[in-house]
Amino acid sequence: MVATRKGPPIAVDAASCTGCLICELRCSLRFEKAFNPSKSQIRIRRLVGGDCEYDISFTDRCDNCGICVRYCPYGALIQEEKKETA
Amino acid sequence: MEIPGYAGSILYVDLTSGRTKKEPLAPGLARTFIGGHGINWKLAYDLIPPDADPLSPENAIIIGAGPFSGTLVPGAPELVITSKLPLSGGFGTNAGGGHFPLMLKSSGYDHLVITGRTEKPTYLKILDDDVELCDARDLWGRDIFETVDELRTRYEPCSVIPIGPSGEKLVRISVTSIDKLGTVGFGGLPAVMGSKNLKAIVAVQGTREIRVAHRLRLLKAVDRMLERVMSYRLRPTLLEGGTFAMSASWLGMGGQGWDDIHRESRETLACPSCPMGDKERHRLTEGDYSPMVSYSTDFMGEFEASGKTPLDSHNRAVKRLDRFNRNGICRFHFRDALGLMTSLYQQGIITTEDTDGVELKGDYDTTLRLIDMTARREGFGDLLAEGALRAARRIGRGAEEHVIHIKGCSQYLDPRIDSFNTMAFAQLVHPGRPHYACGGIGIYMPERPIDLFVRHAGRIGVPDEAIRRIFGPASFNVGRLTKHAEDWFSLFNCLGLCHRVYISRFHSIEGVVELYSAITGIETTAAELLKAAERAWNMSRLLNVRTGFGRKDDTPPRGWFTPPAAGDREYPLRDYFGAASFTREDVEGVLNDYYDERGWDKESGIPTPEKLKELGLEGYQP
Repeated sequence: MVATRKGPPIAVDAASCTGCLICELRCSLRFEKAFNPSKSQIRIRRLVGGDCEYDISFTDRCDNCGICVRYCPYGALIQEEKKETA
Repeated sequence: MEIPGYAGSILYVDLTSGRTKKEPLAPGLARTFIGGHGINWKLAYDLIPPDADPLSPENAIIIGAGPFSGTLVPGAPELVITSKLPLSGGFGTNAGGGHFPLMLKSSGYDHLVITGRTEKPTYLKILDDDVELCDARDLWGRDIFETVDELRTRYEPCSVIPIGPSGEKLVRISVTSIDKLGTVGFGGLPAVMGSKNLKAIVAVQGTREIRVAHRLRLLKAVDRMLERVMSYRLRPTLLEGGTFAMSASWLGMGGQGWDDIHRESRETLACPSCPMGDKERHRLTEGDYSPMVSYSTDFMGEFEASGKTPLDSHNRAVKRLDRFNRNGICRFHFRDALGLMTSLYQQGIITTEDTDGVELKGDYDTTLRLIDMTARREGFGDLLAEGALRAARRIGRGAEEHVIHIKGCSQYLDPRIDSFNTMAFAQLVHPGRPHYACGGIGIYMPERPIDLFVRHAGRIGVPDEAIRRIFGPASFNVGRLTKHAEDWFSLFNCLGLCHRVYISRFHSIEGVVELYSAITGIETTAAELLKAAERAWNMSRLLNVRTGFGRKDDTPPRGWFTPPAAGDREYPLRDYFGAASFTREDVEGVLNDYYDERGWDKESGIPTPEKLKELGLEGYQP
C-alpha cells in the first residue's frame, strides 16, 4: 500500500551517508514503537565496490514524514521545508 | 519475563557436533551481570576450563551485546568478545564497533557462545532461528576485506566478523576488524577462530524488534544528548579530517603536512547510532599504489605504530595500514617484534641466517613484505608471528633482555614518553592482557590541570569520599583513580557503549542511569550500575587468578626504568606532572594503592572474600 504523503519528497546525498542507521532506527521506532531496521521505511544498504559506501532508498510505506531527515547527523537526507497549513 | 532492551536469548553453537541451542536469557542473570561485559564473564566462568589451551576446542568464543545496542542511544555499537587468548594465555575481553550487536539482536540473541572445532573451514550464519554452519573452503585464504565483501554480496544487510590469513595460520599477534571498521581481537582472538576452522561469523538482519520500557523518556534523553553532540565545536574537524585531524588538534601536533591530502582522500563512516563517526574509507586516486580503496578505524594509529619505519608519503601510509588490516596483523605487536629483531640485527646478535635471508634495514618495502610473511607464517615471518617475547626466547642469545612486555604482550603506551598516567598504569593491572581500559579524557595528554580530573571523576560517578581520597590540591593518586576509571570503562562494555573519546565524552553517570532506566524499565542508581560494572571487572580478575595470574604479573617491565635517549636528552619514567622521576618502588606503591582501592589482597592481587561478598560473588572462587 502506498502511503499518503505527509511532506515534500526526500532527496538523498548517498555520498554523505556514513551507515550510522540512525534514520532506520528512528523510523522503525515511529512505525513499530520498537527498534529494528527491517521495519524501517528507509533502507540503507551497503554497496560492494561502489562509488558510495551506501545506497539509500524508501519503501512504498514511507509517507515523507521527514523524521529521518531531522535525525540524520550527516546531511545525507534533504527535504524542503514543509509548507505551514492554515 | 524479558527485560526490555534485551533481545532475550543466548545462542550456543558447538562446532564439533554442529548442534545449536537457543536458551532464554534469565532476567536475574541480566540484572546481576549486566549486558555484554557482565554476562560474558559469567558465561566464561561457567563454560571455559581454567586450564584450557586457548587454541583447543575446549576454549569458547563468547560474544555479547549490551542493552543499549540496537537502540538510538548515541554511540552504542560496542560488541564484547571474551575468550582465552593465545598471546598471554589469559582470559581477555575485546570490544569493538560495527553493526554486529544490532544485527545479532535483530535475530533475537544477546549472546553467542561458540565452542568446539569443525573438520573443514566453516562460517557461521545467523538469521533469526536459521543458524547454519556453511562451507567456507572458497573463502579460506582470502583477506579480511575480501571475506567481508563476499559475505556482504551473499547476505547484506548483515554484519561480519571475519578472520584473515593471520587467523587461519594461528598467528598470536593477529587482530581482525568487524565490518572492515571495528578493530577487535588484540591478543590473538583471530587465532582462536582459526583454531576452530571458523572463517567468519555473519549476523544477518533479522526480524526481531528491540522494545524499550519508556519510549518517550528515551527519546527525550537521546534528543538532549544529540543536541550537545551536534553543537560540539570540534565535530566538523572530526568529520572533515578524521581522528588524524582530531589528534593533531588536541595534541598540537602537525599532520606531517598531509592534512589536506588526507581530508581530500577520506570519507567518514560510522557505527550504528553514532553521530561522531570516526571510521574511514580511504580512496587513493593518484600517486603510489593508486587506485586503491581501503578502510581503517584510526588513521592516527598509523603514526603511533610506525616505529622505526619512516613514512614519506600519505599514500604509503595508507598502503601499509591496508596491508596490516587486510592480513589482520596487530600494528603494535608487529612494531615491537620487528623493532626488536632489527635492533638485534644491527647489533650483530642475529644475522641473515636467522632471518631467512631478509636484510632488516628498517625500510618500507621490507616492512610490507614482512607483514605478509608474518600473516602467513612464511620463513622469518613465522618468528614474528609469535610476538616479541616468544620470538626473543626462540632466538636466545640474551634477546629476551631487550623486550619490554606486559603479560607477554606489547604495551600500547610507553610511560617514559607519555608520562605515568592512569592509562599507562592500567596496562599493568588489566586482567589477562594489557589494555589501557579507563576513561581517558584529560589523561591522554600530560600535565593537564587537576580541576579537569576532579570534574571528570565526578562525571564518571566517583563517590565524593573517593574523590577526597584521590585528589590533593595539585596531585592525584594514579592507582586509586584507575580503579574508578576502569569501572566506568567496564560499565560501557556492559551496556554496549563505545568508549572512544569522541563520543564517550558526552556521557555522564547521571545520563547513563537515565538511559538505562528508560530502556530496561529498571529504576536504578549510579552506585548500583557502577557496582555491576565492578562485579564484571572482578569476575574477569577471578578467571585470570584461576589461570595463575596475580600480582607477579602486574609488576612493571624492567625496561620502564631504563631511560630511552633521543639526541642529548634522556627520558626517565616520571610522574604525570613530569616533576619527579619514578622508581620501581614508586610504581609498586601505586600498585598497593590500586589493590587497596579495589579491595584486593596486596600480596597476591586476589579479590578479598570481603570484596566478593560485597559484590554478591561469594560463590565464585578464584
